[in-house]
Amino acid sequence: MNVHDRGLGLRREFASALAWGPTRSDVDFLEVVPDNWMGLGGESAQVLEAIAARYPMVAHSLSLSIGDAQPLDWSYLGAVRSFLDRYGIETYSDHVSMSRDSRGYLYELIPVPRNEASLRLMVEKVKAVQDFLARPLALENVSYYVEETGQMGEAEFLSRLVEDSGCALLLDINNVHVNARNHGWNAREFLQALPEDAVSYYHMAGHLDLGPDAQMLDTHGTEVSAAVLQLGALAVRRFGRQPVVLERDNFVPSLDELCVELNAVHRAMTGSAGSPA
Amino acid sequence: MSIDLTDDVVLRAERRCLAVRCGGYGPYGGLVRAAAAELFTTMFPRFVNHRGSGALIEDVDAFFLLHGASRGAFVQMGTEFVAFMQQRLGSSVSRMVLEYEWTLFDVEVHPAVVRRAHEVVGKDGLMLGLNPTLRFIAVPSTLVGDDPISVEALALPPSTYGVYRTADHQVLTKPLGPSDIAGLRPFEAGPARVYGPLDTWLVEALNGDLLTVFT
Repeated sequence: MNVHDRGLGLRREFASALAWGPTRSDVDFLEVVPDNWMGLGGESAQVLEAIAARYPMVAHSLSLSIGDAQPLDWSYLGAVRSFLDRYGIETYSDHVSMSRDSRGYLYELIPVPRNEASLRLMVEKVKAVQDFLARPLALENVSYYVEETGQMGEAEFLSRLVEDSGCALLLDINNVHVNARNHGWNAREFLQALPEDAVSYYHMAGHLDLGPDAQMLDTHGTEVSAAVLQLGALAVRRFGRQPVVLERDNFVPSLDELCVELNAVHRAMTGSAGSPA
Repeated sequence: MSIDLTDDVVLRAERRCLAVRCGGYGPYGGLVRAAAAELFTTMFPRFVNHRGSGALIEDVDAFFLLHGASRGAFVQMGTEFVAFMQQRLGSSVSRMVLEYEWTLFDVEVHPAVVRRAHEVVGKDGLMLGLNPTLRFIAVPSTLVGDDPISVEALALPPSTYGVYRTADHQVLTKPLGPSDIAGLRPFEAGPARVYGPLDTWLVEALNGDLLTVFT
């Protein structure tokens, strides 16, 4: 990954500040969602051009739908490739999920059936995507709120996906914590079950905890919890120091506040004061 | 590339997504609808305000039950919602409001670059053309203001407007009178070269970015 340590999920709420304000030393790179910027002109295009000239960027898309049972959407992939090329982005990721059926797209990341046939299909698709984009693909473990019986364990499914396809894992620490709590498994054992060299970068985010009788929700609407920070530190010990992105999609605070949290998260995970850059 | 889409994989994935479309599969049916309702409220606030939250919930539900969006990104999702609602609303005030807000959004994100022309107004033989984001609409005047929308007010006869984005990214809805329409007509078919001193209308149209300079 040709970026440094501390990344922030790019939001429109503070995009102009990043584009036109002083260049910040407390954030090393930005994670941009291509689906929210591709094909847009006007102020959006101008702001993104300015940001790209000032900060390294990685791309994290929402609509690859790599786990669905449809042929790959080459039109969408073509648009993604053009976007990556235009902004010189080498690191590209999406989710281990599906968001499409034979009728069309849904506006959500739906968990993939975890079985042998689904795994084989995903492996084929990942290889095709990597060939087409001429870049490695990283896939994120998603939070899921339904667990069907008779499925492969998530750690086994992800491990085999990584090993068989050659993709990397974008490890979302908060999703591990949320899934462990909702489905009653051990988050530390989950980390131990993943290949040591699988992770290319980390996501950190907040969740909504409505108490022991309700499902924990991956909302990206609060600060990162202490439990997730601890799990993040464990992940760094197992998978090494990789770039970390702080995501915040709801109740978005000021850019200054987010950068303070990003650096606190980074310190908690690595014990380091920040980027060497 | 040939990908083996086995019946089992297809059936399992289709079953999950169908359950979501029908409002189920744990919380996912609700999550999909909540995310879409939030998106449409952000993109089309006056439509949602006019339509009412209860009706919007029914609209979003019908959208996922009956429509398959060809893209997942928010722009396409919003655009396909408008197309879906055009059928659902028929000829109505709600439809007029929705189409107007979609036009504002479409102009805002139009990929064309709008060049500021006022710095070259004094030059001769300029190639002038319509602002590439310009859209013509005919709607009642009450629709383009900030006043609450009423059925009675929207029954007024329509006026002609030009909706376009300026070089500094402001989206304007400009009333077009007979002189504006006459002034724009020479550029309908494409950019045209203008010789000699520019008349007052052309200067104002260039200063306001209604027209722009092509090279």
